Amino acid sequence: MARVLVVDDAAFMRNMVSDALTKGGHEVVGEAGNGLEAVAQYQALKPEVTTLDITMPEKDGLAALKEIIALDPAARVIMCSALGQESKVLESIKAGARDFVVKPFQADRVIEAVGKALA
Amino acid sequence: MEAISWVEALDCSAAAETCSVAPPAWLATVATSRVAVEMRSMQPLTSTMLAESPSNASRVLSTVEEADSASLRTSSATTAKPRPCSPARAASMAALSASRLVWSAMLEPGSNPLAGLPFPAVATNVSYVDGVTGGNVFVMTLEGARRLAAAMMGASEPEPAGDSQELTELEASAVSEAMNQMMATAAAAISSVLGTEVEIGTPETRTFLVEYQTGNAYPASPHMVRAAFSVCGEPCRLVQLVPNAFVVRMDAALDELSAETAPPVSGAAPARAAAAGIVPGAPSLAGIPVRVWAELGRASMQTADVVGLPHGAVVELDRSPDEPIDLFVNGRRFATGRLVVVDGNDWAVRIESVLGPSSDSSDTEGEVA
Repeated sequence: MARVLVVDDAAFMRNMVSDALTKGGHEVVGEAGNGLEAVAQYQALKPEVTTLDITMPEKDGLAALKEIIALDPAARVIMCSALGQESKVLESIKAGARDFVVKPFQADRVIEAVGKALA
Repeated sequence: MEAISWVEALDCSAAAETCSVAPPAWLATVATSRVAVEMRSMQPLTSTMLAESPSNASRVLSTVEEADSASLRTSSATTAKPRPCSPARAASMAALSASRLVWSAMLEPGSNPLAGLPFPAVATNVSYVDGVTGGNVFVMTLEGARRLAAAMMGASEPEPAGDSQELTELEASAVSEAMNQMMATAAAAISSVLGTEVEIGTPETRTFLVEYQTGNAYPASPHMVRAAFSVCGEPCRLVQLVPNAFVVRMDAALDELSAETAPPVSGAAPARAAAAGIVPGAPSLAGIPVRVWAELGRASMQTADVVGLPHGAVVELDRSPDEPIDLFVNGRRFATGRLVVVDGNDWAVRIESVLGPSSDSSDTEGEVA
């Protein structure tokens, strides 16, 4: 069980991710709808795991990832994006993301990614 | 890499067929057809979708179907995308299994891509923001949007909305997400053709109550491709707004691709190209690899019978030995001929007749190879 911050610009997707995580026994401690909010929420909530969409207004997920890792090099961030191009996956992992889940996803895949990030 | 370029090639061949209809269409359709491919990959019973298509659209779309089956076989090579299983994915499968692609066409330059729709209508716009330029508008009836949103949330029916002519925030978000996922797939497909990163912007969903509100909603575009189909039983349209720069980029990329993959062109190729409606002299189309297989006959069986087939069982096919066999190219029945042996040890097919482009006899039963 982990305290998770869910970041996605689509409220629908935040619901889907939150539902999956709750069913997996995790606690969703906060949600954010863009990269700016994500960084602010990360500092305020200090979640154990963060799921991060890439395509978002204001500040995209890759920029937010880099800022979060700069703030906390041990941050456990899982990218969760429909933009599954290889370059995006590589850039995310290089920037410090623990995993990359491509939408549309299976609930199990998200839970597994969180489990691995905690291990 | 072999598998990847092959899928791209199939996408191109889908586009190639529109070439004889309107020259810029084949370029623009590359991305759009890929979207159709993705939508169709959500749907197991693809063949019925073509049943009522006008023959022209069917020519294009049946090839898309082949690209679909190809992408299913090679999906792990093209993207790291998992196959469907999430509630949203399962729901969108249900929602889209009711869809049927009915028409694909070029629109007049500068025309309103939303003209002639039933209103109120819900439109979601996703633009390319990096790598290429242009926009994509997914538009459907308000009722269709509600049903799609409900399906994506795992509900069979939308919540009663009374007289409301607006989507709830959550419904709009679900429709946006559907378009986001479709366009991310399109971006990945274009990205692999161009060999460069292609990014999409965030989706923007709007409701239009009457047609005049749509007049200046989207920027005028020199080329537009429209694919019309139905989602959850409601009419729906996907319009790709194509700037000239996009056409130039795709043209150059496809030429490069064909230069890399072109096998030596055999003597028979030009005639076949002409028969398939491909404009001669289009260099980017000449070197696209296609899959060719011959079909001896078919049999219809129940799964239990197939599973229970013992060694030595005889499966009867629906064709007598004196009938010609069919030759398929990328899933399209292309010619009929006779099975012969060449050089004493290789099977070959001697062509008896090449079917014209108007022949609407795509492989509707599944593949044999």
